[in-house]
Amino acid sequence: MSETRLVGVAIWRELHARKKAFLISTAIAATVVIAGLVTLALVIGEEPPRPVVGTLIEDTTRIGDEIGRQLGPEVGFEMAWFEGQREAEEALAGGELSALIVGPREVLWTDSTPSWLADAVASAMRNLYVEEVAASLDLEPADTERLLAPIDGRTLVVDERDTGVEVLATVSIIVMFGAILAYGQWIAYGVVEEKANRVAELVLGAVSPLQMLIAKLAGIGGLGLVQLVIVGTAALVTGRIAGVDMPPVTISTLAWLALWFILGYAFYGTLYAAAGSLATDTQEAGGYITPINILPITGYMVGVISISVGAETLPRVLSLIPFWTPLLMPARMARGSVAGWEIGLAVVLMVVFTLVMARFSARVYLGGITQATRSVGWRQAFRGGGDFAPTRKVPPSHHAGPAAGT
Amino acid sequence: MLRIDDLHKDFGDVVALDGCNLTVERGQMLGLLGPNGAGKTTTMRAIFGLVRPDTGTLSWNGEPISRSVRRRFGYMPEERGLYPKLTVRWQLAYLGRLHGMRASAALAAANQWLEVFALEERADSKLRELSHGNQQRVQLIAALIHDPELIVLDEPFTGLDPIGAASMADILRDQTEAGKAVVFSSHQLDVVEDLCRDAVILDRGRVVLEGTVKALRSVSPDRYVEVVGTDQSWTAGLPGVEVMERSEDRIRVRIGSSVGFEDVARALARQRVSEFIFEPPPLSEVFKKAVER
Repeated sequence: MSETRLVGVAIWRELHARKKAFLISTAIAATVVIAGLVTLALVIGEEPPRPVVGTLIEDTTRIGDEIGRQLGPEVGFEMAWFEGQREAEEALAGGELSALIVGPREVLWTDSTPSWLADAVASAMRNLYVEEVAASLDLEPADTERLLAPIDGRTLVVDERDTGVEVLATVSIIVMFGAILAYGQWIAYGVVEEKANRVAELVLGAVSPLQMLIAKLAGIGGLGLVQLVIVGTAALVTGRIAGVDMPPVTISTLAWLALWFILGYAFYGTLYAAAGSLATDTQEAGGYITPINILPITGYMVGVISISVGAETLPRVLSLIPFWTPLLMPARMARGSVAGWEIGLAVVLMVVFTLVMARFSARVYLGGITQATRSVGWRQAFRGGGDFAPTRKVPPSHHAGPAAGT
Repeated sequence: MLRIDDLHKDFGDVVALDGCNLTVERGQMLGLLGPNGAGKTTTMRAIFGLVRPDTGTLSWNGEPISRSVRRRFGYMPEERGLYPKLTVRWQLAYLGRLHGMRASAALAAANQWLEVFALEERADSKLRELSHGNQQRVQLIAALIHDPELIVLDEPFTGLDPIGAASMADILRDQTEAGKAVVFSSHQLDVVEDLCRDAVILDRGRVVLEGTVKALRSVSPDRYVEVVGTDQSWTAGLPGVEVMERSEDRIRVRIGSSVGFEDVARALARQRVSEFIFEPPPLSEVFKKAVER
């Protein structure tokens, strides 16, 4: 049987051993995403209650028309006439009314009255008053119109951030962060379990430590990628059906996300495997894994905070450092705030750094996993791993002379 | 044939192997003896590439032991190790495949061995659900499933009840008769004495005694004499007699090289003797002398 097929057999075991965990975690993740999007759709789709404007003036139609002109045709509201002021004020205090027109020059509202409604009612009443005064002064209709001409108010856009793009950037950070942490733990605990169960000793007689490591990374990485695709597809389909505004995801976005996932996973996966190989049991493994967790946690915090405050410099610098590239670069790309040369540089640095780290981590893994009965430090494992490095020459065999027992 | 030549291995200041040599032929069962820290496990781990010797060579049938050669070996490590959450049959088939078997052949072999050990009903149980003894049996199957040419077992009898130990001994005898080379370490010297024709005693990383069990026992100048009879005064006339056990009608003594069989026979000539044993020391005595410091 070829060496490649043996790696295939070992990958098969990784898949078999995690079948149940994969199905359960995928189902949970997909359910959470679907439920979240459906809830979001329900909340967005719900119509707010129509505000009610009370008045003690009987001519509700004229007042209502003027308020309607101020609010515009999209905004609905209702008018309610009250005979007594006390009853009307109680309705306002009780929240049944949003505003109360007491007289031609007097309007009441509360703390919870939206300012746009208060402004509209006040403007409407002022206009009606101006019309009355203009009529009493026998002004020409054209002059009255001039008096009532609205101010040309426009909104100057100072923040051009696109919410959809920001959601995509944030989601990409969360996905990469979750994937690195979750699959990293799978790898680390998978390694330490094999070491703690002593089964590594048995397996290492048949396959090399490097083959074991490759099988573990490939098996768990494959499951991770499939899980991301399933959950991502569930999110997109649910969002579309439920009518939620989804981030602008394209094939190119997904391809880049996949590339960053593969590079980030390879980089962190070997590191987590090395950490797992140093411990003798799962409890002890936590001590080796926690310092590694700090790296993606830092990237996650920088990424999310930068998006919320619109910071550029720190994520730009960190996204070029391979520890944080897989977390920050997809987010920067989603926001469109990255130059082509930066992406190219980040890919090259990431590939080179991943190869170097993989070599380092593989050597630590080899040194750690063969120390079945004890935990070892990084340096000790690195030295020990040199014994098993495939490049080391095996001393030539000699067979002269019988065994010299004493 | 397994040949280990002049193996040296230090772990820092600790010398684990200090010029260890041994050979095991096909069809031979070799008992590897030695006190704790003598280098037995390190030697076995070196065969499986789990320890890289500082110097020295290991070969199988004249070839260096590469990983592909090692796949023709079966190993039962001292620290037993299998996947506790996987089912027995599945993981045995998996280990068979890792050793180069096709999936169908590995599954067939797993079923066959489970039947031999009367474990077919537990085939689809998770390993952790089995008793300690049954887990030990599964561990042995893991070493045998791919029909290895060399079988290396580190303390295989530890933790087994007498029936389990007898069953394990039968399997190892069968494997030896089938032409496999078998090496096992044990602190149970009586087991080695019963089971092995050949034994090697290691101490401080070196072979201090090797040969057939019979020869090892005979090499010692000491002899043990056991006599059943009412009169135990016969020992008085013999020099250098050390009483080992004594009861009302039975006495067991150790005599040195200055006393021969004839001397004992003469001393007992006028005694009423119902039982008489004159034998070389047991392997445990040979072992103690070989490793005493």
